[in-house]
Amino acid sequence: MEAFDFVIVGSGFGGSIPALRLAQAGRKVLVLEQGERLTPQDFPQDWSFRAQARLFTTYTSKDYHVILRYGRGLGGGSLTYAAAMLRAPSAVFEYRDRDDYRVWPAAVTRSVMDPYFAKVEEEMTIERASWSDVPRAGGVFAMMLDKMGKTADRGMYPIHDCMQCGFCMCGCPFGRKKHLGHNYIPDAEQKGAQFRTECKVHHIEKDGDGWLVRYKDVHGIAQVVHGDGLIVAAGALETPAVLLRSKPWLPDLHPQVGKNLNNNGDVAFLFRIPETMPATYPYMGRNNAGVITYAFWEEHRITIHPGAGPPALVAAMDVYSEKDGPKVPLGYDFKHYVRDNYAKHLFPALAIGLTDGEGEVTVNADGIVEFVLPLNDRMKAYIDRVAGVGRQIAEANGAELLRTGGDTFEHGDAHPLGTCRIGDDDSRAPCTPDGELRGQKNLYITDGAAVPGGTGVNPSLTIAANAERIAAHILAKG
Amino acid sequence: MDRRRFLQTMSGWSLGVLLAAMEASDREAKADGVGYVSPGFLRKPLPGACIQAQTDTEKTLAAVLDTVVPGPQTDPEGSPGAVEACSLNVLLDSTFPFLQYADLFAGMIDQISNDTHGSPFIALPYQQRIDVLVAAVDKVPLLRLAYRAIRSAFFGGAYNGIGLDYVGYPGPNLGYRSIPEFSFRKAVCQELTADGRMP
Repeated sequence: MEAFDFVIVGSGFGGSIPALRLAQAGRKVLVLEQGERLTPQDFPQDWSFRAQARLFTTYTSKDYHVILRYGRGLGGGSLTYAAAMLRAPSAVFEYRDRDDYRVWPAAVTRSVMDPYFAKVEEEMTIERASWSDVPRAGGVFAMMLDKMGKTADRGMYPIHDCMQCGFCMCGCPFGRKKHLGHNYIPDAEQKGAQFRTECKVHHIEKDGDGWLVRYKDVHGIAQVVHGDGLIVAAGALETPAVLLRSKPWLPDLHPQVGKNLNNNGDVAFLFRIPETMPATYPYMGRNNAGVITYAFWEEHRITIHPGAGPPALVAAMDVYSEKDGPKVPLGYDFKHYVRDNYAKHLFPALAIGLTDGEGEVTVNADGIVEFVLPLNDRMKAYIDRVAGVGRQIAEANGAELLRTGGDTFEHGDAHPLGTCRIGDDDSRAPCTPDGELRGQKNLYITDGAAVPGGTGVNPSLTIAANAERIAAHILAKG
Repeated sequence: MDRRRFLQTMSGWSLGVLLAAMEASDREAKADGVGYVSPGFLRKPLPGACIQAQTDTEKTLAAVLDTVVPGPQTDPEGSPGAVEACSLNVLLDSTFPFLQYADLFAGMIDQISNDTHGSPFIALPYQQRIDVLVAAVDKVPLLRLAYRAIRSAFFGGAYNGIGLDYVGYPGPNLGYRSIPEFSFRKAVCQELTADGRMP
C-alpha cells in the first residue's frame, strides 16, 4: 500500500494551499481530486447545462427549493469563481448567533487572520481593479450609490489584463483569471506533492494513529492509500459526506458534522433602471462587476455586489416585479420583458450578509449528498432586510427592485459554508479552532466546511487564509 | 459551445482578432454605439438539427416549450421561441437529469389539463396552457428547474443563436475591453476604503 505523510481530499483552496505548505516543509503529500485537470481550452464560453455539467457539481435541496453548486476540476472552485477576493470585515469574526454563541473561535480575529490574508493575496497576485476595469453594470451601480450619498469600492481580484468577455464563471478561456492551477498547485508539484485527478473518495478508516483513504481511481478501480495525517477539503457539501459515509468506521464521529450549513447569506436580485440612466450592457465584463458597496455594512451587516451576467443567467432566474408579486416567469410577456430590458436596463446583484447556518447536509442510503436550507422566519426576515436595502437604492434612483425566487427563495448558489465548522465549544463545533476534527487525531478540515459562518463578502479569500492558518498550525505542531 | 467548436474557434484566433479590428468602425456606426464584437464563426450552430417531436411525450414537451418561450405560432409579435431554438434537444439531452422524468412530466401535464380544462395540453389555448404550467409547479416544485433550463437554453443560445439575436447579445466573444461603452473608465463614486479592504 502506498503511504504518505499527508493525504488530502480535494484540490480547491482548502486542499491545494496545505498541499503546498506541507510539501515545502518536506512532507510527502498526495492530493485526490474528483474532477479533471483542465486547461483554458477546456473552458467554453457556454452557459448551457451540458457545458456546465463538466465544470460544476450541482446539488438540489431535498425540497427542490435551493440549488447549490461548486466547481469541479483540479483547483476546485477557483476554476469557475468570479474571483472577488475580499478580506472578511472584523465584525465577521465577532459574529454571535441566535444563542449568543460566538461562531468563530475567540483566538481567530481579523488581526490574527490578516497575515494569512496577505499571504494568499501575494501568492495569487490579487490587486485592486482600476476604474477602467469596472464594467458598465458596476459603474451604473456605483453611480446609483453616489446619487444617494453612499459609497462603493472597487474590488480585489487575481485578474490581470482582463479581456472582459463575461465568462469568468465558465472558467477563463483566456487564462487571465488566476486560479490555483497558476500558483499553489504547480508550486506544490514542484516541491514533490502528487495530484491525482478523477479520483472519487468514498470513505476513510482509522489506521493506527493514521488514516486509510478508500477511493476509485480514473479507471474506476478501487484503491486505498495510507496517510499519517489526513486533510478533508472536498467542499462544504462533500466534506461532511465523506465523513458521514465513514461513520461505520468512525462510530465516535462528532454529531455536528453536516450541520450548520450556511449559504453565506447570499440573496440574488436585479435592478431595472430607468431609461434616463446610462445603459448597463450587463453582458460586458467580468462577472463580478468591479465594485462592492460596504455602505450598508454597519447598519445591516450586508454587502452588495453588482454582477455582469449573460442573458442565460439573468433570464434563468425566477425574477418578478414586487408590484406583481411572486410568479413563475413564463410566456411571451416575460420573453418580451427580457428583450426590452436586458441589454440596457437590467443588471443582477448579489447581497451577502451574516446569518445563522441552519441548514444540514446528510447522505442517503447510497451515500449521496442531500441537504436542506430551511426558509424559516429568521431567513425570511433576513431576506426582507436585504430587499429593504435594495428597494432603498432603487427608489433613490427611480429604478425598480426585481425580486427572485417566487414562492421559493433565490439563494446565491455558490457559497456553502460551515458544515464541519471550527469553534471553541466542543458540543457545537466539530473542529477545534486549529481545524482538527474533534475526537479524530490527525484529521483536519481546511475548506469552506471549516469556515464557521458567513464571511460578509465572497468567501474564497477567507477559506484560503483559514487554510493557510491551519497549515501553519499543522507544521508548528510538528 | 462544445470542445470541438471551441477548438475551431481557437484555430481561427488570429483571423478573429483581425475581423474584430475590422468591425470596429462598423460598431461605432451602429445606432446604440454598441455592436457585436464576435466574428461570425464564433456563432456557428452546433451540428445536427432540432429534434422534431414524434412521440406523444415529445409533442407535449414541445407544447410546453412553446408556452414557456412562445414562438411565432403563439407570440403575437411572431418572433421565434424555444422550439425554434432547439430547446427540445435540451430536455432530451441525456446529460440533463430531466430526461428520466420526461414521460412522467408529460403525463402529469396532460392530467392537470384534462382535470381542469377537459382537454390534453396540446389542445389548449395559450392562456390555459400558462395556467396548467403554473399549477404544475405547485404540485412539483422541481419543474421550476425545467422551466429555467428552457429559458436558459433559449436566451443562452445552447443550440443556435436565435435567442441571442432576439435579446441583442452577441454570445461568445473576444472581450469588450476596447469597446468605448464597456466602462466609464473613471471614478463615479466615493470609496469607503483606501485600499479596497474593509477594516
